[in-house]
Order: sequence, then structure tokens, then C-alpha cells
Amino acid sequence: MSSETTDRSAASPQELASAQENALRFSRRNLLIAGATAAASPAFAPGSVTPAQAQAPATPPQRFEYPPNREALSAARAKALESLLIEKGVITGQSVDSVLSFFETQMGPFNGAKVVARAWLDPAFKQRLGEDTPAAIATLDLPKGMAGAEGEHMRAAVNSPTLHNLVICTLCSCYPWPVLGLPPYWYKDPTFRSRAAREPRVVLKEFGLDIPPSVEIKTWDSSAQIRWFVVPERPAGTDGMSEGELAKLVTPEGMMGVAKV
Amino acid sequence: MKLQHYLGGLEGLGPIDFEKRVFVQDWEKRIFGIHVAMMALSTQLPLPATPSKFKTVWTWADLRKGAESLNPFDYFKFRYYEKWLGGISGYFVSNGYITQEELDARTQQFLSATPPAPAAGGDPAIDQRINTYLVEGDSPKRSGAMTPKFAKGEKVYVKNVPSVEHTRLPGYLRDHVGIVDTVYPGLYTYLTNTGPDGVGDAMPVYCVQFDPQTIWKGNTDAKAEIYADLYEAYLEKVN
Repeated sequence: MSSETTDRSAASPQELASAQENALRFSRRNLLIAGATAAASPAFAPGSVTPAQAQAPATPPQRFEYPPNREALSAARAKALESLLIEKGVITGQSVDSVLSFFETQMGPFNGAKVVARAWLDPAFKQRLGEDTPAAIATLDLPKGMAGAEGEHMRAAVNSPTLHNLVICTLCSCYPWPVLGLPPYWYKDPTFRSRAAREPRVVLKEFGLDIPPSVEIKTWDSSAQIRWFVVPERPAGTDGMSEGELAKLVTPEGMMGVAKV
Repeated sequence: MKLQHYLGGLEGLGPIDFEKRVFVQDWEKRIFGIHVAMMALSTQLPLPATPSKFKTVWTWADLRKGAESLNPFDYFKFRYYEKWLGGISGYFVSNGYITQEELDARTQQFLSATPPAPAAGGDPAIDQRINTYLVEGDSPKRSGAMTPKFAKGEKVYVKNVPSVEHTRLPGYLRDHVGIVDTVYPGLYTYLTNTGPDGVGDAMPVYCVQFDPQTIWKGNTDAKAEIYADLYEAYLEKVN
């Protein structure tokens, strides 16, 4: 048994839960306090220390340790926060569910798919979409809110046989909500955000998308208030398909530039 | 230098987790919904008042500031919505809406074998305002007499502005030269004033093209360009 395992078993479940709750309490200042508390807490029983261990630092850093009930704790914390906010009249019992429902029914990739399908069928629309995205989108029959939250100023980057576009946000997770809904996990993960900026072709290959060296890649980093999406190329073998059938082929990944359609 | 501002181009991070789900745990949906409600009820928005007790400002800038201010090790340690949960909980405590003791006690109740029933009720006008915010958005675009300093095709130098807790200038572009690709019509505010960093007031915004070879020489794609939307305060003339 490693000393680390012994150390963990020395703390009572309550102590563990308490320390781990502290670790979750990371408003900027509190985070430092929580870290200091964890480092100062007795991590192991003195009687179990061998002479060799005694010469090592008494409290090895625990920074990358997660509580065993990491998700249960977060789930309880989120429920606790929501219920307190409802009781205190900040939000209602319906607020969170109505927000989630809005993204299931009003703002989502189903809107972007319709925009792309129209662009595939109508070259004039496609050109306008690239030049004045909001004006082009406003001509379509889509739910209210296509210039709403996180879509107030959208731009479309149009792929061609010689150009592939990729949208990223290296500072956070800016994403065009009205046409794409909410960003998938990979888009928000620091690894994608870091690597896609410097080596987009390598990253795309990991996504299973092989962009030949002859094709130029343009990467758009969403650092101000403009929100970007990609208009992928129309796939071969789709002649004669209706706009509705074409829209069903369009994926969120295609509209962020990490997949072909 | 804050690592979180320099994520673009960071090396050695390994393969990408191509997880397509938005929320990888159910609880993440709840904190997302709370965040949207807070943005919609935030007092600076020109929307009808509601009976909500939320009487302060909360925007993306507040959420981002929290994440950017973290110890960088913790930034990587905590998953995306874990950072939200910590930042938003901390906000409600430090602004006096709830106490830490209440939150801890209620958390323990939800962890127990007999969790409380979900809370209910509230004035529908609150949810109406949240819906209005989602539909109408919060455009930062303004009109004004300010003329853009730079023109399409012009070379611009990206300043290395003082490092503060929150910025909209990606670190990898600092001290590099780019070419203006688009001068956006109108002026754009930012959600908060970033002080010596320089954004907040209405100003022109540009889409600027950069050659990755000048940023990551010999260690990037041979046939690629990277573009960023940048506030004018971050740019100056190339001498």
C-alpha cells in the first residue's frame, strides 16, 4: 500500500468531504484560501511515517487530487444553489428548465443546418451569407432570435475546394448560439483551443478530417463580439435533394469546420 | 503573464478529447441555466424590471474574469462547468444573496439519503425577461463619430498591453504584426471596462489576419492564416 493510500484512509469521510467542498469554493480569493487549507491539513497519521519519509516534505502537494465524490458533490452544490436562488426570489422554479428548453427548440444547430442548406441551393444567398451574414439570415423563415443572445453579430466563413475554414475561441468558448446552439465539450476544452490555433491541419486529422496540403486553412479566433460559423461544401451525390433533406445532412461539426458533410 | 491568456499555441497538450456532448454531467445543465438567467436579469440591460431579487450586474465578463484569474493549475484541473459552478457560487455569496453556510448546509442536504424536494414557484415575469434576453440579445454595437484609425489592407502592430485579470487580446498575438482584413461598420463596446488593458468604451473593431509562420516560426502550418477580431485599443500603426 502506498503512503498516499494510507494518507487518504486516515481522514474521516467528513473531513474529506469538507476539504473537497473547500476546493470547490473557488471564487478567486477563496481558491487561494482553500488551497492553503488543504496543504496545511494533516494528510497522514504520524505513526505511519517511516524515517525515510520523515525527511521528505511533510505535506506533499495535492493540487491534482479530486474528491472521490467529485460529480455528486458538484451536483448537490448546483441543486443547492438553484433551490436557494428560487427560495430567495432571484430566479423561479422554471427558469433553468425554460432556458434549457429554449436551446432544445429555438436556438440550435437545426437553424444553422437550414441556413447551410439554402446556401447550397441558392448561389446568390450563399454569396450574401458570406458578405452580410445577418442580412442573409434575416431573409429565412427561422425562429425569432436569430440576432439574439450570442448571435448579435454573426459571420459565416464559406468553404470551397481550395479553402477550409475552422472556428476557434482561444480565450474562452464564444459560439454562435442562434445557428449552432451550445458548444460541445471539445470546443471548450483547453487542448483544442490551444492546438487548433497553431496546428489546425494536424488537429483536423485527429478529428478524422484529412485536409490536403494544397488546401488553405483559415482559422478564425473569436476574440471580440463577432460570432463565426462555417458553411461547409455540399457533399457529392446530393443532386435533386430537397432543402429539407439537405438540412438533415448538416452537422454542428461541419459548421465549426472540424468535419465535412 | 497569465497562462489562460496564452492558451493559443501552447504545446505538449496531447490528443484532443472529441466529446460531442455539451453537458458531460447532468448537473452542468443547472449551472448553465442559472448563468443565462443571471445575464438576462442583470441590471444594466434595458429590459422591463421584474420582481426578481437579482439587483446587480452579471455578464460574460464576470464569468470570464473568474476563470482567467484562477491559478493556472486550477484552470486546467477544473472542467469547464466546474469553473462556472465555483465562480457563480462565489458571486452569490460575496454579493450577499446567500451565505456560504446556507450553501454548504443545503449541499449536505442534497448529498444526504433524504434530499429535499426541488424548490418551486416564482413570478412568471422573471422567466419572460429571460426569454426576451435570449431572443433580443445584447448588442454591443454603437453608432458614433469615431473614425477607424486603420483601413483594410493596412499593417497593424498588436500592442502588449498591461496584463490584468481580464482581456480580449489573445496572448499569442501580442507584439506581432497583422493585416487588417475587415473594418467592421460601427463601434463596439465591451461588457466591462478592462482598465489599462483598454477595452470597454465604444470603439472600432477589426478582423486582422496573421501569418502563423511569424508567430510560431517553423512550428506551424505551411498553408494557413489565422484571423482574430480585435478592438482598436489593442492596435497601433507599424513604424
